[in-house]
Amino acid sequence: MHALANPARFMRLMTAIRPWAALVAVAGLCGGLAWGLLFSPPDYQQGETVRIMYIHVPAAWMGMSIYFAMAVASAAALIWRHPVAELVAKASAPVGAAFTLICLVTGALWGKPMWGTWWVWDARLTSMLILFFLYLGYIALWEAFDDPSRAGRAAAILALVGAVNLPVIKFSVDWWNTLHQPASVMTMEGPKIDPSILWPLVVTAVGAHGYYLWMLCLRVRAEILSRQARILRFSAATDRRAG
Amino acid sequence: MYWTSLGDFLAMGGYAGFVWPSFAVSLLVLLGLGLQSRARLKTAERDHAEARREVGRHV
Repeated sequence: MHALANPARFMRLMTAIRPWAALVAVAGLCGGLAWGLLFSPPDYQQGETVRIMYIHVPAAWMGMSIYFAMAVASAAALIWRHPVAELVAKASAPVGAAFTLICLVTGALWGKPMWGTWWVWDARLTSMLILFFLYLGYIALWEAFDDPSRAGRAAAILALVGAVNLPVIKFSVDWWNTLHQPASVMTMEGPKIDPSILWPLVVTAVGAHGYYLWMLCLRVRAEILSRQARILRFSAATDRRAG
Repeated sequence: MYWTSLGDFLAMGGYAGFVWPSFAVSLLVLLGLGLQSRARLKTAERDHAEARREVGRHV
């Protein structure tokens, strides 16, 4: 991990990973979704709407695991002043927000025909909406300060405080009465769904992780270059003043 | 292949109005973020090159 604190080395690693991440993203997302749309059977209760789950479920996983990654990176940035961790957290937020938005929209589109309503204010849906607002708040905090080091600290603290929401989302279906069904893939006893549904889900989820990594490669590189440009200009200005 | 005809596939058992918008919105969001990320990187690369030129002039 220590070697990765060096931005130049981190950038080289990111550049090397980028084409592979892109390949996994495109192959996994297209393959998994085509599988879910074309080859998997309809559900005996949900009918064809079950196909929405091949997007909804991986998007929900991504929304949560990207937030987890963001919180860990923020902790590393606060505790060890790890220069790259902060930028990884910053670059993750829009990707996590995008997946959470997809989860919310597809959930509503599934809920209307199956539950008879686009939205209910129950624990699972509300905690997921809070996750989306946490992402937006995090992004807004970065923009709210002129000084990037202060913005980074404030945003990192928000990311860490907001992490309490993650177990609330995960266990909301067990702790409260809710319309949302309980976990069926990530359970202590292993997946409880048929392989014909599980496999397209897994392939799509792998593709979604590839997409996250791909976006990180682009966005972290952009963040490092912007920061270097800022430092270059700043040191040139102080040199002029000193000279 | 589960489907027997293109019409069946497009109709999605009567749920076309929910299934297809789900896929369309997801595609748009992921594509949009991808394009925005690429544009952001291009801007940062230009800015970085410009900063190096500026500094080169003053050193």
